[in-house]
Amino acid sequence: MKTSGLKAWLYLLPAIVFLGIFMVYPLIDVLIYSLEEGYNSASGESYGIGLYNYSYVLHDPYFLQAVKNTFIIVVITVPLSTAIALLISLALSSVPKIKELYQTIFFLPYVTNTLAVGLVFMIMFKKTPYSDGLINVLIKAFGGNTVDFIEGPYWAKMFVMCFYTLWIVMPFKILILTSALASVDDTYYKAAKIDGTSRFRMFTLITLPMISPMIFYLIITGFIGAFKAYSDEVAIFGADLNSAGMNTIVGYVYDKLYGDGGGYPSFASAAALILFVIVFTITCINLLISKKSSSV
Amino acid sequence: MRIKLEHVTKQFPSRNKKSKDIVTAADDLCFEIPDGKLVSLLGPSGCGKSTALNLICGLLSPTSGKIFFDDDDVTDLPPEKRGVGMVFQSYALYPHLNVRKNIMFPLQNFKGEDRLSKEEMLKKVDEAAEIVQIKELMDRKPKEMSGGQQQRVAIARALVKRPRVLLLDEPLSNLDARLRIQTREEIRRIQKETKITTVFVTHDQEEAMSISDFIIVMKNGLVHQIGAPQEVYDDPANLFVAKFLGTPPINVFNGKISNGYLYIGEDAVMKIKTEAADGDVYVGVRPEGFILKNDGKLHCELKNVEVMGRDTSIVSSNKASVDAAVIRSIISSEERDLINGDKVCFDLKPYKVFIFGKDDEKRIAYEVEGESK
Repeated sequence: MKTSGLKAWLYLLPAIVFLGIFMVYPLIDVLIYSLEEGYNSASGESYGIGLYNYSYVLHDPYFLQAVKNTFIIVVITVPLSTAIALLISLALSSVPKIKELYQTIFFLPYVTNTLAVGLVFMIMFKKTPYSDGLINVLIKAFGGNTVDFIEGPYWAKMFVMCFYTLWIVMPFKILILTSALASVDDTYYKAAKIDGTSRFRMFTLITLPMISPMIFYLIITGFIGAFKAYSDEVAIFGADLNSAGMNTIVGYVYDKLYGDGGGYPSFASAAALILFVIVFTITCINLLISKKSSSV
Repeated sequence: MRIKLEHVTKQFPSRNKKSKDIVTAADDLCFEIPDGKLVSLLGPSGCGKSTALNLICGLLSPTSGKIFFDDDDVTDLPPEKRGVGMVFQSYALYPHLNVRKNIMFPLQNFKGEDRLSKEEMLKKVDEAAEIVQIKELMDRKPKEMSGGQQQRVAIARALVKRPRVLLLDEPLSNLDARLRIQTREEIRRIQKETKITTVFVTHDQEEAMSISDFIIVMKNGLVHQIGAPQEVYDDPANLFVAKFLGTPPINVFNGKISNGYLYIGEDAVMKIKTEAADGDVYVGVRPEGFILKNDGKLHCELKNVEVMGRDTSIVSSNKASVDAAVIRSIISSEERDLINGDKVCFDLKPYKVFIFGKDDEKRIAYEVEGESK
């Protein structure tokens, strides 16, 4: 009995060591950093322990702007991208003959480099003294006023940001949802058809409940992904997100570590932990809702 | 309600996209299912029986031919307008709905004048649940029930809208042996109670024999024989039907007709009168058609004696046997004492012996000592 217990621990040892060094230790260390006031990374010393770092971060207007930006992106892109992806997947599954072709086209954004795509987006939306950019040419053609989407008003920049995010996250969702739709047993539809079920009822009473685990999976990972957005913003607005007013929480963390105003691991750690708390809370709420709705 | 198929053919393009072959799943089906009867479509897998069922329910439309319910031509009607109820092999119960909601599902689809109030629906659901005896399970989810219980729910769901025809697609094949016998009796009882015209698809001849008013035997999209179970068993139209029905299966021998005698191998087993010309034939003998006799005309090598209690089966071999080297004959336990040595001899019961043509495998009629068969 005793030796078998020892054996079990021995088998677990590699996993425990790796997880301990690369997951548990950094997490604890971030927590410690965030509580050390006036930490100096050169000397490795601090004045003492307290919540000053949190208070500083929560009163930093750049951080508050980053939180606002992040929330807007999350609230707009997650539901919208899931809904549009579902519509496209449904359309795809109703045209079996050319489904593969369209699936490939829709999946292209997923395998292209996001920075390169961001550059193209920037060129399309940008307005310079020499050129209006493709989008503004179109707006003009329909009789509208040109807008600088990259350095112009906040709503215009946010529109580009959300549009770009949708474009980036959609392929994966379409891929997951088309396979989820394909996995629903055809017999259910046959049975429903014999009973004269309308297409709408088939969708709401058969398709949706059957693929709901996948939808919840996409929403949860979508929330987490959107909260952690950073590179997409850099791709369009460049590295100085604070001056563009388009920073995100992760961007703020990065700035506090390595950016122009960087060198403050304590502030960065505090901001990172605040983000962690937000993501954790929202994920818990999501899971609660999904459990409730699947048990109805 | 009476179902009638007139020259119904269904062809599919080949699965292999490159070949232009066409698969004929149902070939010129002509049969009539009388009102209030339970009919089995019986055949090996790929014989077209499920295609025939899907044609009747409307999930498939025929390439040519017509389908009638009573005198109504339903060939072009979509399934929901035909008034059919169907039970699938996998039951197709909606996993997220409980039993009550599953059974209610078809009723909620009614539109316009047919629309039912909640009370009417619940009443009908209760009635259907009563018929299949699952009233105590109404709040369970499908996965919280056994296969047999799920089967009953599926039948209740098919019955709840009072269909004109009940279609069952291999409904018992997901159940274990004991439950299968129980459930088939149950289906028979429900069918008799509701007097609903029922079509039952199966590949299991025992199932078909035990449950049906009559059997339609199919192979390769063709109907081979239609008849009452006993009739199909006692009077098979061809070698396939004879081989497909009966457990243990019929014993088939290479034989010949010569000078008014029927030969199995070298043994002249019967003196017969027939209009068929002398020549090679297949001879089929049901396992119960052997009479153990010391001076019997058919000589076999004894291999084994299997005691079953009620009866005894003798496994022996004969060079003339076609499919398997062994022949299996069933005799009553009392006769067992006659077995001694490594040879067994049999006489044959004439009405258990069928002769089939060597080329077309069709039955050849013959008479023996005045007894017509």
